[in-house]
Amino acid sequence: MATELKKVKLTSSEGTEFIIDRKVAEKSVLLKNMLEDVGESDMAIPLPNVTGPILNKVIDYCTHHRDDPFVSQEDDSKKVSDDIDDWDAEFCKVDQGTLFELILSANYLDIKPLLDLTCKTVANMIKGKTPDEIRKTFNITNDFTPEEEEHVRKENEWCEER
Amino acid sequence: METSTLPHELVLEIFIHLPTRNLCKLKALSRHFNQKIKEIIIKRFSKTFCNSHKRLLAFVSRYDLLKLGPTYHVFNFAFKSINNDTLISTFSIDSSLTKGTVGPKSVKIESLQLCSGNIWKQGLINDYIQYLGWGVNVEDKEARVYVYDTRTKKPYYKAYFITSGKFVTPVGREECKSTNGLWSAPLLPKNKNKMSTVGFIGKNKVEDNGTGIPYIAGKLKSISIKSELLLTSLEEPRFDKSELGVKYLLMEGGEEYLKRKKSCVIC
Repeated sequence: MATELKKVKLTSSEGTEFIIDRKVAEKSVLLKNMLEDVGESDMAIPLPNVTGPILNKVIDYCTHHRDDPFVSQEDDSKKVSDDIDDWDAEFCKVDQGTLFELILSANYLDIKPLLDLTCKTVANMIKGKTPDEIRKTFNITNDFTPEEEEHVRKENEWCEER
Repeated sequence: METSTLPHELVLEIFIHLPTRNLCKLKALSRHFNQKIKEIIIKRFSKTFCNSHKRLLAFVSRYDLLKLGPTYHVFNFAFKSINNDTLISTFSIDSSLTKGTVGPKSVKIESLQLCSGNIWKQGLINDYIQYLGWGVNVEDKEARVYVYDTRTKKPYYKAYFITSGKFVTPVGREECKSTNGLWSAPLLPKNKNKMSTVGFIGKNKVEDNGTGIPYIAGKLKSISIKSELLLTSLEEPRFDKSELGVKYLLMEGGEEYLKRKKSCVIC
């Protein structure tokens, strides 16, 4: 006898409703904990921090990776790595704004593999950038005195050697 | 790229995925990021080197005035500590090891295979260097620094190149007395304007072999190295291309193994 898949309702920030398999929703640690606390319910879970288009992308990701094993928060053995599989690479071919929104949503929903994937993608994008360019990209204020900055740069001059 | 509104803790989540070389360049971003990047590097370094089988090797060459030719010496170091502020890590010679052995199981290093094809067999690992200063107070030495992992089961270990340069040590008896023989010397990079990334600490002692001519016996005790440089050498592993560079550390049976694999290009 086939078991009917349990469904979960999610509502994006604009009020758009998404109905997804519970297994897919549980890729998010936040949703998994909520579902365990609430138990069986037809009530939609509001996600005020996630817009509809981004939630749609997140659901795509979780659906594709629904059967992947759980990744522990501490398991960062693959942190420094360029190995992104084809599907994931295609998934991340979006504009920078969307990529950053995906990072925020993955962090909010606590989906570690999605957070790692999107962060890794941005890391690959910024590898060749100068500190000035990175400051602009991430809105970082330089609070070093010119002398301090020069000292830090000098200390790390070896980085330029190959 | 456009400007983002990502909170700084998420920007750091991105930085965690950068290789160490790229990460170090970003230490100049701001004080906050400088500190946080140091924390990432310490975590990365600790995971790789604390309680690990990774060892450093310094291959030192000098011109011997008595032999009128170069002599070669090898020193093997195990992890000791890391300074959380400067990120300088210290590796010291493990005095509990028998001379000429490496790793927790004291595996004997028979010799070294050099890139020129020569097999180095001169002296023992971690043995003293004997000087006859003859009025000279200091002496130049060339050093090539490597990292390797003692867990390799093959009769040779691959040694990955970290850096090379020159360092100057005292060799006079007066210098030896004034400092109790203890000295330190930075490994000078080829480009004189650049800061040194490696330093050595050694100790000299006056010996007399019964001939009535006292001589100085010097030995490296520890090596201090920028932890970021060391991590980078593992993330971008490369063999030494110099003729005098170390290609393999040969364990017992290693020479035979390499002879049998004559037709095979191992690296």
